[in-house]
Amino acid sequence: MSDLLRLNDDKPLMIDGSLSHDLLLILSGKKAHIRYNLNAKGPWHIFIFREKTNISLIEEGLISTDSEVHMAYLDLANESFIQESKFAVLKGAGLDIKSIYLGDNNKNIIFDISNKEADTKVNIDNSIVALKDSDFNIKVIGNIVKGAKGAIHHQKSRCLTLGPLKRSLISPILNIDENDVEASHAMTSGTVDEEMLYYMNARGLDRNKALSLMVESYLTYSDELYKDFGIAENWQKEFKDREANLCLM
Amino acid sequence: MSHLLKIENLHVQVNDKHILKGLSLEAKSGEIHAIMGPNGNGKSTLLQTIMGNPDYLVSEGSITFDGQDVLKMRVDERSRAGLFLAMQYPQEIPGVTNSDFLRAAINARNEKPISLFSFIKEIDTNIKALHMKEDLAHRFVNDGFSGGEKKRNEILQMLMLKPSICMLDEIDSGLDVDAIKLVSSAIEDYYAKNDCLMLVVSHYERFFTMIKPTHAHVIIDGKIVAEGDAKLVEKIDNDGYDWLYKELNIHPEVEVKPLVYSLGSCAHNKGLKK
Repeated sequence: MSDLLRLNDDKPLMIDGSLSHDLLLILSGKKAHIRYNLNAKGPWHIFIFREKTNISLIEEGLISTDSEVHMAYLDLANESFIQESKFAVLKGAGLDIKSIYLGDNNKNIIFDISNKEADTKVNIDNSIVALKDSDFNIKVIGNIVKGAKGAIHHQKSRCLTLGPLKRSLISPILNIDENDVEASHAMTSGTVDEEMLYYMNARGLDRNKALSLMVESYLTYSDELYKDFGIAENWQKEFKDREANLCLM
Repeated sequence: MSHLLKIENLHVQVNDKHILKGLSLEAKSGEIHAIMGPNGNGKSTLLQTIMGNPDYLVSEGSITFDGQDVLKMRVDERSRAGLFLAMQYPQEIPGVTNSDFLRAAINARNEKPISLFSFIKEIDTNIKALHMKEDLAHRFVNDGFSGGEKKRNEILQMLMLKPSICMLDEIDSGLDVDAIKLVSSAIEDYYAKNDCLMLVVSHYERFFTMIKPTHAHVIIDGKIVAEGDAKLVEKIDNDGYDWLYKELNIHPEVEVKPLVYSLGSCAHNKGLKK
């Protein structure tokens, strides 16, 4: 099971190889500044959950040679959120990022991830559901720098906006400065398809239930995520309850 | 309990085009109605209108089901009241599994949610009956399905939701010969065991030899112009619709194609060819 760390003041936090390999970080303050220096070879699982406050999260990290790091971000709060996450991945190391952002307020997210050296692996998967009056901006910048031969970098972001007042801006950016690499970026953004909704209505689901099913489909891997990150049962329940509350439209 | 569907003087427009022009039809439980007619004359429009597709605007007429005004009901209410439309082009819903979708649809029409055990048992039985892939329940609704798989999935949904009015819109198109036999057998079986009525649109007499309609209707230019039983289906299969046009002095609308001028591979210095 993962260790729990609650950040409720503005002091910077440094996470290095001496801390636990499985960590659940709860953001409760107004501002969080986290630095990582992850040099352990064993896989790291760091799960960041934002509690109900307006907050800005700044992260900077170095994923050292041959390390394996899994990061997860869960944002199920309606208050606005600013996140800037900058990671550099060194030789032979891997960084896997999965995120779920669900809510009805403004969110500005930037991931700036660099494959700094050879044989590095980066995978980023973002799922966003913008409810009610939200304005969502996410920029995912992938950099494969000169010398990072054999680097792999994949990023995927998908966003569902509900209702007429929502706006989402997704910018998938790849800067590739080396040959012999594998990279991709994909994004989808859109609102509910009325024909799809008609099909679901024609099977007896009213508009709200149909929309809830579609929203839940954006959270399909959340259960798996909680298990993979060793999240304690009471927290899993808390997350599921929050998901369910937000899905009730 | 016997069910009655009554359609009177139905006028329907789609994108300002008048498609149904005073169509009337009555059907009750224990009947299978074959709806036939040339393309573009209103067969699918009729079924979509009964189901409540918002693109189809009813300008005149009425539809009642067991005395209830269907036109006043929302699409989901019609479905829960017992109407079911197996669509010609089923929608894909990526991210939503068949299992979640069907359980939600079943629970929407029952006060008590179906138990997981009963649901799994029932869906497995129906998947086997329709010779579908075992992992179907865990796949996303129609996502990545072949045309034939989508049509079978429509029938699977029908079997699971147990409607009183089954409307099948060209459910046989896209199915190979073996699949047509399988699907028609599942439909017949459902019809035999349930108190339901069926409205079936198909172009193929072969399909109607399998599900054996009790009534047949031909829609031309938005109206029912001929009615009968299985013999009418057979006659249309043999003779087409020309005899009806002559007998009823109907002049079908012929699509006027615009005159096309070809500029060839390069328009320069060639001018327009006539």
